[in-house]
Amino acid sequence: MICPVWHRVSLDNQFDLVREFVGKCQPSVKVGDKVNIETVVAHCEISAGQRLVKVAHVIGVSPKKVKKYLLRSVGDRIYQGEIIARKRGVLGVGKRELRSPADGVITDTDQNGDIIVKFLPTPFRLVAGANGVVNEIKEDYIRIRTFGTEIKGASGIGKAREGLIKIVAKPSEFIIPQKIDASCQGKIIVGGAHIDRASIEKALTVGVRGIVVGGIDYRDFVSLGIQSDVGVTIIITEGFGTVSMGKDIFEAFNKAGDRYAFFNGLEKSIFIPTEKEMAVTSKEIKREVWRQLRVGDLVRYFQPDSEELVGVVEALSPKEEALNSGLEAEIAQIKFLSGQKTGAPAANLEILS
Amino acid sequence: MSESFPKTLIVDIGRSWTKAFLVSVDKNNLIIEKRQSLPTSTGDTPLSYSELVKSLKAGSETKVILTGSLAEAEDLAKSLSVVFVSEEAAKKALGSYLDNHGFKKPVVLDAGDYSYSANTKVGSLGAFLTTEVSEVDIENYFGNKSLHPRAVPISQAELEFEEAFLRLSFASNREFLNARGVVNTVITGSFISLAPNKAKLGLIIADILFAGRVAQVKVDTKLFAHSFGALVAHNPKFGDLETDFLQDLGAFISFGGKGRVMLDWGYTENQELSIVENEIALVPTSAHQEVKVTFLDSKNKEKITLSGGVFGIMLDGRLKPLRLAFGRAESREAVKGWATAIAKLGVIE
Repeated sequence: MICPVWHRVSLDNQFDLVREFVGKCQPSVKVGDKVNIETVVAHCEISAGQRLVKVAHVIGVSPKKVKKYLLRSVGDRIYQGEIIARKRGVLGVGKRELRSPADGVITDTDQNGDIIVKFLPTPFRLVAGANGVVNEIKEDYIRIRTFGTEIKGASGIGKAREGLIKIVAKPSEFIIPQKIDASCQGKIIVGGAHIDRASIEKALTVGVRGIVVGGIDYRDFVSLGIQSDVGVTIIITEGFGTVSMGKDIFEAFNKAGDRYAFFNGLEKSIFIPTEKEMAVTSKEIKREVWRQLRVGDLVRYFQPDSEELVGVVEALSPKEEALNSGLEAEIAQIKFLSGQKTGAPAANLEILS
Repeated sequence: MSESFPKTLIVDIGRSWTKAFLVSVDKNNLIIEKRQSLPTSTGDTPLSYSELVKSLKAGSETKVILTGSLAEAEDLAKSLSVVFVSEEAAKKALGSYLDNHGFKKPVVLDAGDYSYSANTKVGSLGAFLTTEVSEVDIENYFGNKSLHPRAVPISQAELEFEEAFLRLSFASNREFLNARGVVNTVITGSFISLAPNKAKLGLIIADILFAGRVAQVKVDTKLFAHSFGALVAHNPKFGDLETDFLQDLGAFISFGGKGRVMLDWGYTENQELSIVENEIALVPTSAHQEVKVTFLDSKNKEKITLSGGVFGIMLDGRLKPLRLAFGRAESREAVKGWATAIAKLGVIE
């Protein structure tokens, strides 16, 4: 029987950390450069876009007369809070002012009495985030060869985000809204066997960047939009339902403590760079995706409502055997880490690297 | 081995499982010498293929045909320089083969064609379960199934989830719904073909058949139907051979209540049968026995010819659509009762 190889926890391995550019970026390093966590690898400018400001409506004049009340002209640079249009009232009655919503430049006016304000780009320094060597620079990202711990979950949603790790629950606990407070702001919260919609909403309100949890109900997961981003990245380490987070994954987070991590919902992965500097090689990183199941393999046997997920294959049946469902399948005898043993269909297993 | 019929390895790369069949011809019979299935190694498709080729010990002189719904299947065929038959071509060829062999206008219900989605009506699915579960449990089961599509149902409860899902899926098949007269149906797919309990299989068909509908059903017992279609699509001469992968399950008549039929076995006397509302009856009839059936309660007294199978002819007097509601104890008891009744009636193996 062949089974997928799941690289659930890869401790202190060599990885490529992809630092995606945010907005327009100018790399400040070149391929082969040695970088550390705080090295600025690119200078970026995040465009804030532009906005239509309804001058005529706000100050209460006809569109044709707007130019008369504007204090700034097309091409002028304006600053947040600065008065850009003013209508004087009679004896102080009916006076109206319009303040700029942000720093920017007035780029246009139109017949409706609106002006278009293009916001000024915000400068941003993209740091390496890890110790290592720059091994690729492309138009939209820089790849850094580094060492760290990578954790792969079962499923996930949301774009690439980063933040400090904060463990909020034990592997078998529920992440309830009360467990998410202001201290979780900007962090990746970890732990638990289940998170519900109310807790996700609380996390969004508080400003949590990411959630790593054992399980979630399928309906809550799909309601967030599998291919979209709701503002928080979620990685499910085990599956749908209430499933205790695997001890292997929880221990890896525990060991990492409150370190900085990078994670990506669509790739179902969390990367925690190693703090100490280690010599990287330029060898291509290749990983098995599937392989033959063998006696001695560490495997994961997914069973909802069970804390026993990881075990070792002790024997493989030479021929198919009947299951309780009546169907026949190749059976693997598994000894769980707790010492308990069971027979499981080999097709239902995942080999842990 | 004649040159027209070289030893052939057909590999069907499905979304969750890859099936391989090594076939040869003996006199006028198509023989499946060896067959083996492995999970489809998504992301590394060549691995399933090479492991199956190794396992079946197909010689270098063996002709290879690759088929399947995945785009990777065609890419793999190109890289190996072997024949590729698209899923559509294989289905079309299978349909023509059945049509040419007296199974006119067949409808193929393939369990592999359906996958669970968030749009699946969980309540309708749950109505067929005999255990007390919540909608969330059902959704989570299929959510996990999407993460592990190759996973085999371990318990009876899990198998029930799969069977309930197939009921909904098959019942939504447009060809099946729109077919006129006797619906010649072939059912295939892992939990169908390898079902240890043919009685439950019969119940699935009976459950999805609307009132007044009749189906003549064959089951693909070797999961070979799609691969056979690919074989015939590539070399139509294989279609002239005798095969044994299709087993006659029998004929299913859904009255949607009480009903009466006259069975003409070709003997001097005909047999009149009547069933009451909610009764299920089986008339033992072998696959080779043809019976002319007249519906005595219909206006035009139309006569149709049916044959039996492992189930014989099933007369179903249950009200259709079935009066089932998710979460109600009476529904669970009713489903349990029908399964028990069918199991007791027995099948002709």
